[in-house]
Amino acid sequence: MSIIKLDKVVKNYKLGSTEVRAVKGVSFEINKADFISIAGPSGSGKSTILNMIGCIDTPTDGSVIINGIDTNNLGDKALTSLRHKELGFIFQSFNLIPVLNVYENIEFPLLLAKRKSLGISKAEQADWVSYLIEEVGLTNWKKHRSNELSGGQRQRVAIARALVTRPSIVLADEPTANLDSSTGEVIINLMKKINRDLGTTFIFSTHDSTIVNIADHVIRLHDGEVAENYKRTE
Amino acid sequence: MKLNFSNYFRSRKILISLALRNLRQHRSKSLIIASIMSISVYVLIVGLTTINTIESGINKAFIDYFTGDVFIRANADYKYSLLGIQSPGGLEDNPVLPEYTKIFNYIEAHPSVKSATPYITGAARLSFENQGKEGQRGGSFLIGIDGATYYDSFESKIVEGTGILPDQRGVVLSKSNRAEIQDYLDVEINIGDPVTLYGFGNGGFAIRTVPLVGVFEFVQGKKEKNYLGFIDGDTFKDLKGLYYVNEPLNISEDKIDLLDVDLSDDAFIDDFFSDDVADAQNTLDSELNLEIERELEDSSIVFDQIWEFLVIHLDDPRFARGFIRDVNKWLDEQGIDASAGDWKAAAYPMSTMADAIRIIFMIVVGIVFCIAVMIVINTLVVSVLERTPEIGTMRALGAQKSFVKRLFNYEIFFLSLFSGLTGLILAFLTIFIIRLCKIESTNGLTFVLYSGNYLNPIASFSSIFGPFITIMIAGFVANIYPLHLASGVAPVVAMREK
Repeated sequence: MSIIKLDKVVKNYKLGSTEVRAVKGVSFEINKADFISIAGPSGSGKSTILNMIGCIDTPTDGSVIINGIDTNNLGDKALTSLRHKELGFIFQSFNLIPVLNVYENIEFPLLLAKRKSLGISKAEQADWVSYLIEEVGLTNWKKHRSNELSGGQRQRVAIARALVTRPSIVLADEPTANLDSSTGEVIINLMKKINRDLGTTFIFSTHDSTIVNIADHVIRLHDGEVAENYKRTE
Repeated sequence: MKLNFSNYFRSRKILISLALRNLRQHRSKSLIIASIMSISVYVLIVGLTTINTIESGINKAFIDYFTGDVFIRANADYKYSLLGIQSPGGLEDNPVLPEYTKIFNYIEAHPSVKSATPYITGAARLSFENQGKEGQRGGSFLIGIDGATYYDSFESKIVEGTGILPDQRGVVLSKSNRAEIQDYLDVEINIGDPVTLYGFGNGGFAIRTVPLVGVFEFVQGKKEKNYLGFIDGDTFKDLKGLYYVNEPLNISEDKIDLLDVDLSDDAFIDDFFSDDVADAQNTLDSELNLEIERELEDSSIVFDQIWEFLVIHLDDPRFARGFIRDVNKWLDEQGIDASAGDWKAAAYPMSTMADAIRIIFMIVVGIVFCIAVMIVINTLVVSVLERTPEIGTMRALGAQKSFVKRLFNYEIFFLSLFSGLTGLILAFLTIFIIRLCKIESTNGLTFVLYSGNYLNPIASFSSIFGPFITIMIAGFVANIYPLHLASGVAPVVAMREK
């Protein structure tokens, strides 16, 4: 079942007086609970596509459909709500809020919405945050701030934060780029485990071939076009 | 329907917590902004308190001792007050208040009026020639009063002799004025000593001799310095020749001959201070006075009704403006060419001192304030630019623009609150120290400005909360542009942070 659909998506950027075509009519579909790698060299358009799927950038042409909703027709407020409800983000540089501790960083997205809309009680919310902290192995670090954590620990916090609103899709932009290879592998395996346990769709961009191999579904880009699109189970 | 507010408050709590932690995290910028805001509040509170104290000092000094709450005067084409004509080089005398008795009766019967008394004001030179040092004179500002009503209206402490009693002729000098004259003329002045007054009014140059009946000091304090004296109204009217205003008197030729002095312009100026004139006038005085009094008895003018001003104290001075409006309406209806004004008009231009100081202060503060706001805006913009990735991350995670705005508003709110309180505490400390230091008034001006012997600044509600609220508003105004920048940060910025 398709959870994301890109249809002839084009993205042009203005670079001074020159117009750069970053994405050239890309179309593909992603199914629910997939663990997908969008691979390709630098400048191939991975991050641009990820941004458009994440509703933080809009296509110049074509359409991006998330859970049946055409994002082209949505305004900023609706796109923000959609991001909060359906999408989780893991950033290359972790992007934790420096003044918050581990627990507060993970809890933060939940505080952006009314609990009524989340459908959980205060106790359930606390239990859920604690569960995620435990899942990412940071129980002893929950009162620590991000500057007191290692890169791997920070990315674990980011993963827990991405999952806290129980999104159907988690987007990870080169999640292992700032980590050493062994830590990167641990992080990818953690994402894979959560993907299996919670059925969350994971989409991550990478140019690391060892990490690409863990993905079930690989979309390889080259010069803003889909060069390969295959599923390992097939 | 059960409302669930817990996440609302948790969300507010995290916003407040985020705001406070951000201020701490970016402490150098917070300190720059807080310092500017604190200093602004401090300067505003101390400045306004000082100005209010000065204003209140001037206000109290004038209302309590000189002008009353309201005064009534004749209308004129030129500007004048109780202090005389205010036009440069103006030689006109104060005009006489028309239909004085009618006005006085109306005012006296008015339910809002506590007391009313008439004035004639002007300057004269005083000579104490019984001391054998002829030709030496001291200048004074004299207020011609009605002894029957003046002391019901104004407090003054008679330290020697008496005040001017009803129907009594005489002069009462302030303690400081007598001391100044004694020093200046090197004479000793005692109660009962004849005081020769030299004046110039509608009737020309005039000389009158009356006894010194008393010495007073204002209740307010010992340090006052002034050149004031009170004189009975009738003598002052003689001196100013006020009876000539409405109807010339017929003085016999032989008495006029006694005034056989050269009154051509140059000679007059030379003779003004000469002893010949004084001698001639002294000889003339008794005979001429008798002549004038006889003439006045026959005149249709009622001498008692000639006054220049009527000064009024109200039961509740807060209603002075309404009272002035009522009186002016009545004067209009009666067709009397006079008008009522407040103490500021009565004491012009002295009363405008506080206004002038306030205007200059506000202009300086305004300029400094604009510069301060620009620095605050600049610092906030730098702060927003530095935090762009953090804002982008929040937006990517689902924070609406309103959330970002609220966060920055909380930050500036706490910063303004903290700065305002710091400035306020520092200002209070300064005011407290000034009060402890008991800064003494050293001259007549500072005595009036301090409203007493010591500078005793009292912070009013408006001088405290005005600057405090102003700085809170300024904070929010300074935050408008940075807020616009912050809420405009696109979530995609978070992805660009490598």
